[in-house]
Amino acid sequence: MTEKNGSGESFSAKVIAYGKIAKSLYGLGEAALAMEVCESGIKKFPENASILITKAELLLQKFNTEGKGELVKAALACLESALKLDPHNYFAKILASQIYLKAKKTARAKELLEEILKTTPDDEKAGAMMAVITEKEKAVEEAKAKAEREAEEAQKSAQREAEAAKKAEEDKKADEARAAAAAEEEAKAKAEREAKAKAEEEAKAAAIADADEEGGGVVVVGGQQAGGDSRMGDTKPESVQWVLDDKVVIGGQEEAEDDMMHETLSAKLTVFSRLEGLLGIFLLDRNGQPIKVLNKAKLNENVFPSLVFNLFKASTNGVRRSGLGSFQKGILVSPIGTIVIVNAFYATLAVIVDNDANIGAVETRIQRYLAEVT
Amino acid sequence: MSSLKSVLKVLCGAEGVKSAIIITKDGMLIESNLDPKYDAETLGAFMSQIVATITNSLAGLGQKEFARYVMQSNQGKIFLVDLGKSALIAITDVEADLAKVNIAFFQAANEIKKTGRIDV
Repeated sequence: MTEKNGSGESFSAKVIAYGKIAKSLYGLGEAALAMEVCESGIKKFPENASILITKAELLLQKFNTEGKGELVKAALACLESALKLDPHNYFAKILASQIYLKAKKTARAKELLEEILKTTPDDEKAGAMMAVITEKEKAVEEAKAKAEREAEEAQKSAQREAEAAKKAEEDKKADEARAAAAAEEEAKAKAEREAKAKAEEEAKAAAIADADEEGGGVVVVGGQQAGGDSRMGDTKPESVQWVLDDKVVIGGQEEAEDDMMHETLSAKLTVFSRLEGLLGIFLLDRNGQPIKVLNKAKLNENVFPSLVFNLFKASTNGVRRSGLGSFQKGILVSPIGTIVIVNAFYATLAVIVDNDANIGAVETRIQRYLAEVT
Repeated sequence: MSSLKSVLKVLCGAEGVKSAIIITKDGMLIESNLDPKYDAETLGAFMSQIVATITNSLAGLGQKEFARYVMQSNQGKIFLVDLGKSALIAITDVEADLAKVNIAFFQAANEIKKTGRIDV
């Protein structure tokens, strides 16, 4: 549960204000100032995921224009912190998985996308990213199989070469042995011939010495050298750099139009004033981020928006896919209270009342609200 | 003690109730009394996703179970009640009286809980 400050205003109201100011400043080209506002908001409300997500959005916008890798890394840190505070936050998951996917860290992207698709299997963004991952995994598997086949082939070829080299070496050794034996025999014969000649000469000389007294001798040596080759493996270290190959898609294109609609939707929430049993109202944008929060009962401002948005998405999807038409309204009765969820023109409205409240009266107010914002 | 099939038949006999099914929380069909235009397996799978969304979010708020969830569409209303390890789902007409259906729905839920066959 979240506390309120001294003025009775909910924390989310201030957090939303910080977010709006930061986004406005960024829009005016005051990026540094916008970041300072976010930092200040995070310091004041360290338990709120919304301001962290706003900071991540701005960092990603900055990355899209400047292309600096550290901005993505910082944005990702904000999103992961936000997910720790609000583990079911749809927008944080979508943004983070997009970054992970583009940074080729598919394992974490897959994990986050699986969480989204578990409850909303036809979510377009998550489905498209999951399709990319599946495609990549398929390509990697194919490349791996090809590399394995090639390695096996290379190994066999190397084995064949080694065997051939061994055989050649053996043949060479045999030739050398034969040559050595022949040379030895030749040398021996030569020596014998020489010895014989010498003996004959000596005999002759002796014979001559007998007459004149004369004698001489010769020596021969030879050798050979062998060589080889060696191979070096590929040792490219895997770099871990947050350099994306593409821009990060942050939100819808109709930002200005959305802002105007959000103003109208927020202003008309006065319809619910003095509603008996009212615990809180959460008005969420198309990404599930709070536009306006009226929190009378200290409801958890991290978990409630995610609960409302995810339930709205799951209901819309479930009703349509089951052949039950198009979802209009959901009423959840829980131990915390009764939550009435409706689609309010590109936004999601949740009115939380206590379980004893008159649901008919709540529905009447919702109808009036929807009629006024049309 | 009533069988699950007969409990669903009684529920579908209530004014405005067209179909009803019982599923496990992971989407397996336990019993159904369904209009042939709906596919029990598909309905069970998508409704279990809604149950999972609710229970996961409520867990973040320190709650384990919810009492019921009613969805309104342009073709009718879908009632969903938590039975512990299973869930009961009923489909009604658009004009069905919420109060009357609620009573029939809770009677059916209690009957099912009494059977003790599901929430083990």
